Amino acid sequence: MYIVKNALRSITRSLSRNILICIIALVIATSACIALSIKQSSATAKDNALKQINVTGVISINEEKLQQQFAPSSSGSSSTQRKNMRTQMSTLESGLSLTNLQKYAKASSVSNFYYQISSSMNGSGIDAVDTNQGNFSTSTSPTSTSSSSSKKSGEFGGENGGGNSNAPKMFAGMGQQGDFTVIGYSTSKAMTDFVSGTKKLSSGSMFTFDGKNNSCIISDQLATYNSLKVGSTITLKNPNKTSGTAETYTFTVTGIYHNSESSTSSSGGMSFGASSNTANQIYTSYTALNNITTTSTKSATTSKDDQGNTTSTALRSQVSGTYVFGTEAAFNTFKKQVKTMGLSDSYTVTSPDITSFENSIKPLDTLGGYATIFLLIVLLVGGVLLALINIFSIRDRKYEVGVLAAIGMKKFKVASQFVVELFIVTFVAIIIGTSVGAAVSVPVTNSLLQNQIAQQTSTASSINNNFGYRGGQGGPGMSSISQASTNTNFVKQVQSATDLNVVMELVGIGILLTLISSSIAIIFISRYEPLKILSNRD
Amino acid sequence: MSILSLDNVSYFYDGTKKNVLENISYDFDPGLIYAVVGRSGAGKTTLLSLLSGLTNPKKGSILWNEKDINKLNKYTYRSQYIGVIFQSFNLLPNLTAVENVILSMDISGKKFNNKKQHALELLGKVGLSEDEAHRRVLKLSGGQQQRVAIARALSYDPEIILADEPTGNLDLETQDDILDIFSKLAKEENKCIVLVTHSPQVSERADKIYELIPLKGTRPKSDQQSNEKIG
Repeated sequence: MYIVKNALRSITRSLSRNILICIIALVIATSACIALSIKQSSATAKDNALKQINVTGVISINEEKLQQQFAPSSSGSSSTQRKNMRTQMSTLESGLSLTNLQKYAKASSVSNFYYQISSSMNGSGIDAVDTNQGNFSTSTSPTSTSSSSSKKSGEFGGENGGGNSNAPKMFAGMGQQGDFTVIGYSTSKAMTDFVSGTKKLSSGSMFTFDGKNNSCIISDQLATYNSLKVGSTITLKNPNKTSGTAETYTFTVTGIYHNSESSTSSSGGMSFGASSNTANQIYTSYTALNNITTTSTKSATTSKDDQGNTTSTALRSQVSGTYVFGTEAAFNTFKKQVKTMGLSDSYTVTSPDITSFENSIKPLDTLGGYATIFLLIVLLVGGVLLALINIFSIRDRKYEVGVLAAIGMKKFKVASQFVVELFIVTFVAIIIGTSVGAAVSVPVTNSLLQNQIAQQTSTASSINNNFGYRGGQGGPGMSSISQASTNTNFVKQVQSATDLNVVMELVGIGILLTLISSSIAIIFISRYEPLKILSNRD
Repeated sequence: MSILSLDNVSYFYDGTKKNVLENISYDFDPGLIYAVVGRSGAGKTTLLSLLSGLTNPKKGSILWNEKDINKLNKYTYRSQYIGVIFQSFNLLPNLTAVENVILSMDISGKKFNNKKQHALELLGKVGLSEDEAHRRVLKLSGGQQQRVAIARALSYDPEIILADEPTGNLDLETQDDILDIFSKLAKEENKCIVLVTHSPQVSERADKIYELIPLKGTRPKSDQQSNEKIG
């Protein structure tokens, strides 16, 4: 085709004009490549992260709704309100019994279900590790007990923090807070920190799930502090039984674990008392702990305080279930299924994995949004510039158009030649631009991402500083929201940004730009009167 | 049978009311050289642009082999049937002489065994050395450019050659060479040659002369000027 030959010759013979077009196209291509790469890496990171996460869900009381219901503005004295709220809470909690939770586990979307029970106990003869106080406090210390008992509902919030922690929620206001948190698991799968490797057995072996002998594992910190070894026995007592014979339970330590994460939740103002220190978590089987709480309830006595609140000496416990899903979609299906299965609006189904995943992707997402805007601006400005250059160059080239028309070259072919020229120049620019863009897009994306993360972290921490108190007061739900943002493991790096998708999109942009800019040439050529060649000699 | 004829053609430029050509009927036969002469502003170039299909007559028609060229594909007509040597050459300045010639051969769509060799031969015939043939047109003198324009018009072997002052920039000796070439084409290859000229030396070599007389009536001065520029 002589058109291509002519086009190539025309490019080399008017280098300055074509270099100018090439530079502009190069800038567009490079910027577009970076912008598209950022978008792409955001999408890729999302996909990959979604594939990797094990989607789990929990059913919990809809804290927000409860908060609204008992908002401070509503009438009634605060004590009555609190009482009402407590009643409501306990009613709702009974709705989350194991039997009920197991009922929802039958939903078709659930691929696995496991559960755990947790309780708060004091030590007898062993001391709790308490780094929050700057020293170690003993379980029997009156300050510790009084400080914990003086706190209202939100005090257990600290336990929920940190995304990774699988410590169950403790709904409070119903008893004394002990220094140790004892958690009983239904299966080893439920021990997600051990599955993920955050916690590891450093000596001994795992407790048995059959519940015999009350076997348990403890943290290495607790073991060191109390000089405990594998095979030692520990005695825990019911913190609610303040009078009479102490209600004690004995556990055999079968293993000692090491927690590779910081043992306390990091957000300031969130941790209260020793029980929030994960070093004071004692793990056992569901069966063992369930037996203990059942026994305790049987032997409990109830009394009424001066405000008319009924209190029981029974060991408080909290059952929570975790539903495992194959995909995010299954989780969303589950949300609908439980509604039809009769779960009321007072409960909410959440997935800590998806929430933390969504938080982790936030900076990248924001960046992707900026990238899109940036891309549009670059395309607009670049497109206008290219069009202008083409308007000027076509005026220069009208003589050429005239000659070609006069010697019988069809307008269609003249236009094709001009389009081919622009295509060649634009594509050279796109090839160079893509290479440059691909080379710099990873470092550029990563450094922009760091800025975004820094920004989001500071926003989150200022929210925490400003509203941290409220979070503490507001209950576990509130505090877990603000904590999630500080403790989120953001996606901090992207590996490769430019992929085939990006290249294809760039080719598309190239075609678009060429068509836009050459459309001016085409219009000019199609309206050209060959006769003008005789009157216009310039 | 005439290969090309003007049948009662009238023409005026858009925006003017006055006819430049009025009821012109000329016939052009193969194997002959025609000279169209006339004073400046008589419409010589207008006639040439009509014959080359760059514009259409306002009245009457132009026939090529008894077919109205208005009904032919003008681009095919221009690229294959006629060869035009423009007064201002209309070469592409960025291309070399030989590339300009080859371009016309490409556009005609006709088959050639060796385009480059054919082009170089033609350029040699009109008196351009091979070195000159490979120079950019912009770097050639007016006379040399005129030869390139002639070579280009001949390159795809059209039946009709239309030339607007084809020897205007040539010295007498070269002018004779070029006119010899035209004669040869007419006599040996049965081409129809139409020369628009005001040079007596050229017109006396013609077999037939058509004289255009400027139309009577005073035309506005500006029109006259623009017409002169064209003619």
